[in-house]
Amino acid sequence: MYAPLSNALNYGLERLSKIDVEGLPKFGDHIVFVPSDEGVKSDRDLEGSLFKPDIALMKLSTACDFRKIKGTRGLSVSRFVSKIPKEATPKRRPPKADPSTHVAKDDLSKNNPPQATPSFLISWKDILSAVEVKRISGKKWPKLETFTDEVVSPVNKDADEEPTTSRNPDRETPSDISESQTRKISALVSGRTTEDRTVTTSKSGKSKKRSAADAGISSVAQSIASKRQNRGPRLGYLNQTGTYAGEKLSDSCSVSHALNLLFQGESQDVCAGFKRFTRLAR
Amino acid sequence: MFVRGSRGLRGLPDDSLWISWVDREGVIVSSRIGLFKHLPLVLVLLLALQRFGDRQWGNIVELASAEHPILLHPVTEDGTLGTEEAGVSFHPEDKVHSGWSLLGRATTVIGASTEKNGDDGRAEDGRVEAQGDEGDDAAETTADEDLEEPETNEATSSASDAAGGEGKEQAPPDQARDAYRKACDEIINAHDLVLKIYWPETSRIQEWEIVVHAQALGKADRFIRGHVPEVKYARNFDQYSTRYIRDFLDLQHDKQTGTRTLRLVVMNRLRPLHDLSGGQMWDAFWECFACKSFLCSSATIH
Repeated sequence: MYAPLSNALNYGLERLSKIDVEGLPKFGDHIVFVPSDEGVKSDRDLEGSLFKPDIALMKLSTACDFRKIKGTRGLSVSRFVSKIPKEATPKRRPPKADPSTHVAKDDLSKNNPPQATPSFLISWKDILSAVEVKRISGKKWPKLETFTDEVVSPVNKDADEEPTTSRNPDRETPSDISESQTRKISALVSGRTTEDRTVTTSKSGKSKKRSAADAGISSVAQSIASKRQNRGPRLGYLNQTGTYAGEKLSDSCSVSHALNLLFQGESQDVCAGFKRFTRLAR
Repeated sequence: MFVRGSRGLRGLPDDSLWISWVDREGVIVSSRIGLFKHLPLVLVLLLALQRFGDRQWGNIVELASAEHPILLHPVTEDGTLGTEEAGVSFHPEDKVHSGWSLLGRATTVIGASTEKNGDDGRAEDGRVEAQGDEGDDAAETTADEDLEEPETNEATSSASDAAGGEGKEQAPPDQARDAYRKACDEIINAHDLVLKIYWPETSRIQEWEIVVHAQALGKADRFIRGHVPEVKYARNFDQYSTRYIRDFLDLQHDKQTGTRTLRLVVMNRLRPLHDLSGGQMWDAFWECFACKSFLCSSATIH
């Protein structure tokens, strides 16, 4: 499910590794995005805590160990990607039908090399960054709420209809982004109402991932979540990445900060547009 | 390629990316970055991520491995940090205190030892907790004197747990208590210091300055004397301060308030009092309470 995104990012990483930029450190070791829904174990005193980032960013050598791929010396990112199971590799020519159903069970049984199957839970220490992927459900393109320290005001739904003229900060140009690159929010940790801290469930509602309740985040009735479904990248989505950061930060005294990514895709096959992007790049 | 492609990319899904940075001071979330609309920005991000080192990923390299000692500054008698460096070995498996913490000080205390163990074995004399290194002629009693005749069976279970399971649940109280004390002796002999790792606000008074001031007060106050710990080594690791990212993003107009930095402090290790009970426990508790109360009344520690 996350293969189009991770493979496109890996595709970019491999090619970017050949670029030297003045002022930036020279390229060292490869890093790769690895779909990692198997779970990451916590290293706390008491066992049992797991968190499941959709995609984990890790060093290539770690990823090879994770996927039990031997002969890692000199292995390229593309070579690594080719060795991971079929269901996680992008289809060169996706069928015209619903792309979410393109993986056949026969492919899984025939083409999966046994050595490429992850057989153990990796430690969070092996993960450089946890990546959360969220799918937007509904017809409207969601809107980013204005991140301030104040309570979020109700979202103007009409603004979603005018992506080019809206004052919505979600529609900033690159120059706007450079001017106001970030905004601080305290809502991930505290300061929001219970409703604001709601984690919106996925469309299927069958996610095996840790629920908001597991993460200590309050959840409200499903009906409230469905009403707020179309309001855009939820603070709950960010809460999900926040739990990964919380897990990592609280798990060790040798961590100063956590840097996580949140992707939000429109189509059912999350970030399927990357398939077209990779073809364009070629 | 991108200029030409950008026209064709109009029809692509407007997938988005956010970056979240979480540290001990708070959370920073970027504005939305369109994966296709802002594609060059995404590529620059990947380029930067690809060249991150351990520190950029959030790993504190000084504490990442316990195989090598960390270099700290000795604390002088006047409460300042010396310029020379001393190596202190730390032992993450010997965890004295830790708790779940996302924000704030995130205090963790683990066992430590100096490379030269000659004069640092103060805790080996078996003093009870909250007993300092000064005022040896104070009214406190040593653990050896106090613990000869335990009065009740309280704290037996905690003693058994703290002894790393050596004291069985079904074992007699005295046996469990002895096992606990033996385990404490072994740990203290092996790691006679503790390393406190935490993220205090830089605007606050540094701990060793407070301790030296408290020790000065203790010379004239019997409730304080002998109960103040000694800070042997310390160091601020300013390269891990939370202010850099906020200064860079111009998020923190007040340069001091809220800024946290990594601070390591090494103190002498004290014997825990979990195995005390009855009158002994009360005496130890009261000494701690009285010391803290008098220090607070002196406006030294809050």
